Amino acid sequence: MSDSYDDLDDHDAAGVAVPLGPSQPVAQDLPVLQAEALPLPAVTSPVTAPSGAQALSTVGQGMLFTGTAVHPGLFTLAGELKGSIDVGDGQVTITESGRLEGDAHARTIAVFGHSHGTLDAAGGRVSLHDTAVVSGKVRYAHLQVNGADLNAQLERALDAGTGSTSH
Amino acid sequence: MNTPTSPPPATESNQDTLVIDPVRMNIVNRVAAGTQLSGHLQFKGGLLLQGALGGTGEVVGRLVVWHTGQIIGRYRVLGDLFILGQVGLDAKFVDDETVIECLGTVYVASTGVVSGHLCAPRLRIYEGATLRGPFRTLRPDEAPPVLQPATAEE
Repeated sequence: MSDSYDDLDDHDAAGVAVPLGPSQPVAQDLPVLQAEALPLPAVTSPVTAPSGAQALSTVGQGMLFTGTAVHPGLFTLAGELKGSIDVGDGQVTITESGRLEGDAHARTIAVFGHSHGTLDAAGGRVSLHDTAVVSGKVRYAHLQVNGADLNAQLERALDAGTGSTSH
Repeated sequence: MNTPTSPPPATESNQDTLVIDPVRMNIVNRVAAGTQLSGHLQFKGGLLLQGALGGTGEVVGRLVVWHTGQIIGRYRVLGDLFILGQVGLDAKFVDDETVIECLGTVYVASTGVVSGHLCAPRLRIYEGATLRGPFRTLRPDEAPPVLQPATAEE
């Protein structure tokens, strides 16, 4: 069979190694934070975020949040959120136990759990891992999918401001 | 791919690589670059698509849409689908006339552009790929939605 392709030109495809793109790690190989491994200090005074550091917020596993969460920084959803998340240029991570019923707006969105609604990372990056179940709409500039259960309208939006979809 | 049934191996540079070897991939058909085919077409034994394919039909085996390749219309793929080129008419608009149903895994490489409808049990998209339009995951217990034998008048 390969002999029949010997006369191919520059686009010779017989036996050629073609790069597909950067590989995405499987979810099981990614490090995760173990809550029990993080001893919490006793809180004796109001906690202030360290200056210069990105604030981190988490909706923990078993927690249900309903409404709109606005948080410039890193947002981890391990519980359930019905409503919307807006972290601006921050990052939203939906863990395997996380479930979002609504919209998320961020620069970077990583999904390991469930999302039903709009994932809006216009001008940014969306990663849907193999444990993710995503339906609705996905806006992205860079998209990686690794076997996720995906039933969505996909839209490439290179510019966060205008939602441009030009190439 | 190194073996027809294994996923693309990650190389040291963390790049997945597809090795196009028609013998190992059991691909016996090829549409060369510059060729345009349209109508109701059936390919048994996979297809290496380097030209343009339109109309309706079926590919039994693996379908590789090469960098120069383009597929437009309604096709079903009874095997894995590797997209290095274009699926759909125009990358800037959703092409509702193009519907690709794949019963294997769809791999969209960083050079791939999809503007048609896709449905498959499993999807891998590499960074840099462009997808515009709906994608639907086929569940194991779910009958493919429009997998009735494609007809020319569709």
